[in-house]
Amino acid sequence: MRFASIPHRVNIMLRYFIKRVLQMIPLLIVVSFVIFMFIRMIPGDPARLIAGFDATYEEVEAIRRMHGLDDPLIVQYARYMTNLLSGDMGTSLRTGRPVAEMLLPRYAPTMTLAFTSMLWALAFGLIIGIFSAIFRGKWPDYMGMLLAVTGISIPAFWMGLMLIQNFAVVIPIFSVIGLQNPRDYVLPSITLGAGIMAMLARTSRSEMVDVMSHDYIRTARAKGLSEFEVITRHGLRNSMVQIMTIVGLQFGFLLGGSVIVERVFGIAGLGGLLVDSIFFRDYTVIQAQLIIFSTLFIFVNLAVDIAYGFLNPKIRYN
Amino acid sequence: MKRFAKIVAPLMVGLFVLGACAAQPPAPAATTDPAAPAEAPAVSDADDNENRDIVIALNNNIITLDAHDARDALSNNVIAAMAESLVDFDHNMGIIPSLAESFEVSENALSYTFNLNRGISFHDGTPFNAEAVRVNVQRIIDSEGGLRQARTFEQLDSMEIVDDYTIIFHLSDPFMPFLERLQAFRLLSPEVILNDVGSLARHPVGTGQFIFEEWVDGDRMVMTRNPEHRNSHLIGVDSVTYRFVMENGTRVAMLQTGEADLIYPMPPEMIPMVQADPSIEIEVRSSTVVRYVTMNQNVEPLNDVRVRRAMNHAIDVDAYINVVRGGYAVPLNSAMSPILPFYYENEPFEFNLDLARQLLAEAGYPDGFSVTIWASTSSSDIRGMEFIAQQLGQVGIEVEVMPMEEGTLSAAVYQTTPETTELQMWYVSWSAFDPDNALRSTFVSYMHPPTGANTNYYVNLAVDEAIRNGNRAADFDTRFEYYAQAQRMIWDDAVWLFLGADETVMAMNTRLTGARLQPTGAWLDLREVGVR
Amino acid sequence: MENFKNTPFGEFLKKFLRRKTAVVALAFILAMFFVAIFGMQIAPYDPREFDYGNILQSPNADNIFGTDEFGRDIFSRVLVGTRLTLSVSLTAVTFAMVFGTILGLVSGYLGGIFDNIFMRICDVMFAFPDIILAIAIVAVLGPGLQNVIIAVAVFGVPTFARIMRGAMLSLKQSLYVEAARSIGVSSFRIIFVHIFPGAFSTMIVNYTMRIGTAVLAAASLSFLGLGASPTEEEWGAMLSIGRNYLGVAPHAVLFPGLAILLTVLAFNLLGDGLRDALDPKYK
Repeated sequence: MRFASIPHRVNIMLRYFIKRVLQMIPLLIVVSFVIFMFIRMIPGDPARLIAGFDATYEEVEAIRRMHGLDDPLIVQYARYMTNLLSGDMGTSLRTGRPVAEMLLPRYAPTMTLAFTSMLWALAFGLIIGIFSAIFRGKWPDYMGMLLAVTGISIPAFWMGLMLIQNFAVVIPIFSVIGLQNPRDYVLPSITLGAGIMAMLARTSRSEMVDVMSHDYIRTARAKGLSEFEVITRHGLRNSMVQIMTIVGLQFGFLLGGSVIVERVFGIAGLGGLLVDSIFFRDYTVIQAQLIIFSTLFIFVNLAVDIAYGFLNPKIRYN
Repeated sequence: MKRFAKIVAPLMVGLFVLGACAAQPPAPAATTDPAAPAEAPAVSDADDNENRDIVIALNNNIITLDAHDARDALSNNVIAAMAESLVDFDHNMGIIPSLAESFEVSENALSYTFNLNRGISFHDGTPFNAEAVRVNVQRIIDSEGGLRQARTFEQLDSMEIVDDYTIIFHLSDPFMPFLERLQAFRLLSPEVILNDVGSLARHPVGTGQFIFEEWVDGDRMVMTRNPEHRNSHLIGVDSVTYRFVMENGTRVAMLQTGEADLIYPMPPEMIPMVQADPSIEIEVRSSTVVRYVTMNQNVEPLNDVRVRRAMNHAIDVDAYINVVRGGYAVPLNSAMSPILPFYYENEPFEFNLDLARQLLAEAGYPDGFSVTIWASTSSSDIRGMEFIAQQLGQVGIEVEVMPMEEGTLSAAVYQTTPETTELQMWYVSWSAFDPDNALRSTFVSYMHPPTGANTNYYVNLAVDEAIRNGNRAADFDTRFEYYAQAQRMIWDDAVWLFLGADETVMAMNTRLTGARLQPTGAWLDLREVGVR
Repeated sequence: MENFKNTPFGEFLKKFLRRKTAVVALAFILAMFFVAIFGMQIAPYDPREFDYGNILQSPNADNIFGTDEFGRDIFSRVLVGTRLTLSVSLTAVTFAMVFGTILGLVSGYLGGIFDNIFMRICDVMFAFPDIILAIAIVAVLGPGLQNVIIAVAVFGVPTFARIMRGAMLSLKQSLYVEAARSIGVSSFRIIFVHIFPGAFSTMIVNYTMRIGTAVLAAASLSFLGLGASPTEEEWGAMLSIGRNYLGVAPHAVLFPGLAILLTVLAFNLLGDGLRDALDPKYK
């Protein structure tokens, strides 16, 4: 296959891209199968959980039939995949509502919260890191690091409840729950971002220390640039690569932390739904979430690979 | 925005009053007549609207809005404001007509005739009549046990539509709790049942005083006042928003800041936090929820009645109520809640450690034994288990406490046979509105898991017989006699560790009026809710 | 003495002692180990002795940290709880390190398709929210402290595996390993004599910091009701139960919370100090 009018490099990339996407199809089928089977390994019977503790055996069996949970697993899987390919993620066993309808409204709160948490963590983490690096071994360094590390050392649920008690009840500055206006994000973002903030402060400190010891910094200073310029224009810029890598890696962490934060601040997000669904053995909802997550993950990896290819011509696609 | 308005509004009012002082005497304050239609021009329009929307924070997500399939108390709670039943409870849990104008039970207790109210329509405009009732019942029967309400119609033989507003249910066998069961059977629009039944789980269409508006899963459910309802003049709010907030401390904080007007339930251990607040009011009501420990009677030494009696003597029920339930419970002196009409009060087991030790010695366990107790992972269940372990520890019974996440727990309890079960003791609660539901599936011998919830593996044919007779007897006194017999035998056999019957607590802002707990203590009664 | 200062260890010690926070943290951790061993003897009361007439008392002369919802002495419970809390996280992290190291070494050494598959699995586990993984594990394995340990251990494995694999890959190419291989040294020996020590410093730093994370993870599981058995004196469980009394008896939350905070802080600061002292970049 050859696209004559396209430059050779792009042509190779395109073929690589198509190949990768085609490779993803069997991968996704395997992943969906593994997820489907894994979920059903968890002990517990959704039919009984739907029916409740006071239900009789006949009722439980009737519910099992109604949801098709009495079919052989492979039949259930085939049915699930058929529906999935026609764009139907099924209905929740727990609520009887379409899974898509339950998932959709939960994306915005989780994502915006992760984003605002990352934002403040980045801002404060960098400031603390830079200050600590500049004053390395002196008291601002110790104080800065102590502050940052304290953030990572408090159990999130305790921190959240304390923040609510102090800054919503005793001093009523913020509201207790809800994400209606920008102010509502403050308390949950602090709770969720504290850990990342500490990590970023640490990384930026050690990166800055490292970068600032290089020759070109000395050269910059010798050229008569102010210390501020040296730090922002040379030091920070060169530390950014490493810091950004951390930021990218930590989004998973944010989603995990959101389980606790969502619960404390009464936020209807993805983390809480996943936990509820696991507790309730709501197979269809767990499945949908895991499959979406895996697909996203695979796509992001692909995007990263391709981006590397653009940035670094040395990498060969073969 | 709401908070902003709350702070600014009084300021603005203050300014207005200052300005007005110099000029005319102020106009009479707008009355809060709940009957006043919302669209009527009011003096302080924006302010008024703001205050006529109320927020209720519940302690968990609701699961479904399908009135025929809701199994958990909270979902039923929310549905109750939007869909109504043929009959209802009065304040003493007696049965009174609701959507039915009147009803009549035949001499042989086999035919129930309902004369329906006229001029009522569902929220979608479909008229309410005998055919609507038939469609509702038919849906439940056709589910072949799949829907929760199927239990209500287990004994139904046939339906007979006499005229548009009269329907008769014929039972195959006398079943006295039928009326109590009907109280939980809520009617939904036959239009929707016939054409779009799947939507009922997320969009209920009933006849209630509130109309469904929206449900954002896990976040909120909103309903608005139904101006067409025959009792709409009793409702003094424009809308009710339920918020789902699992964390107890957060829910209480919302009440303290005014973000929620009412929280349900109010965790008893947190009541001291709000007691001093003049803007918060607390309502307490006895409930149908009983708390106890089941004991597997196939397991040594729990099969010995002396051991079970000894354990009951070793529990300080008053301390249980104070320590575990924050003081909000009453001692449980029977196998059902004291508020149920057929409750029989037994002589309590005296808290007496010496007597307990003596009974254990008689049974051959002078030094006690080891046993495992299960319960859910909720804070209050964990507290309860710990308490039981401490109490029984005093007579040498070593209790291993095992909190289990609900899915695991239900599998361990129900996906077993009497031979394979590992259940020894289970700290749990039960809530029933009628004596059959309270006694049959928990004590009758053919209800061992996986069939039913007799997790005691208790077998006493005399108890089986008494419950069966109670369900069939037509007059109250005979029924009571049979049910009392069963309760006495269960008590004397010390089938459970009898602990307490909950008192439900809700807390609300004093600006609310008319919100109360329904007589069963199981849900909120919003039929006369308003704001000051 | 002069000689000692010039040994690598002497160098390390000199740099480590310069970081005051790390030294304080180390002292605190040593003190904690002492309490973990002798907690039962130091505690003024039996930590399980209940007194229903004396519940939720504020700190006073008899109970310096106050009492909990069963009237138990919180000070004694915190002291005695040190052992369980530390042993849960130490066991979990040690498991994670052992398995992570083995997997990382094997993966890095073998390379090829095995390495590829293994690293993809690690990527997924890395991206996956760890608390949810832990919940799934506890749901599959059932309740109990040993399953909490397994859950906490599992999500530590990929970090250790990556460190080890990274060290393996960079060292595999290095001259001295190639030299060793060319003179016929066995693979096993190469791993343990040449590669393992190279990754040692990164491992020890990560190990120290992970302990803090593990304490927090166990507490989070308690918050979700999946943690240690409530009768056990475990700080996470105490904190999680105590939160119901946050407004009524703040001390029931404060002291176990502080114990967790200080412990995690100490391990983190120690880790920071170790990293600085072990990193040749820092002078």
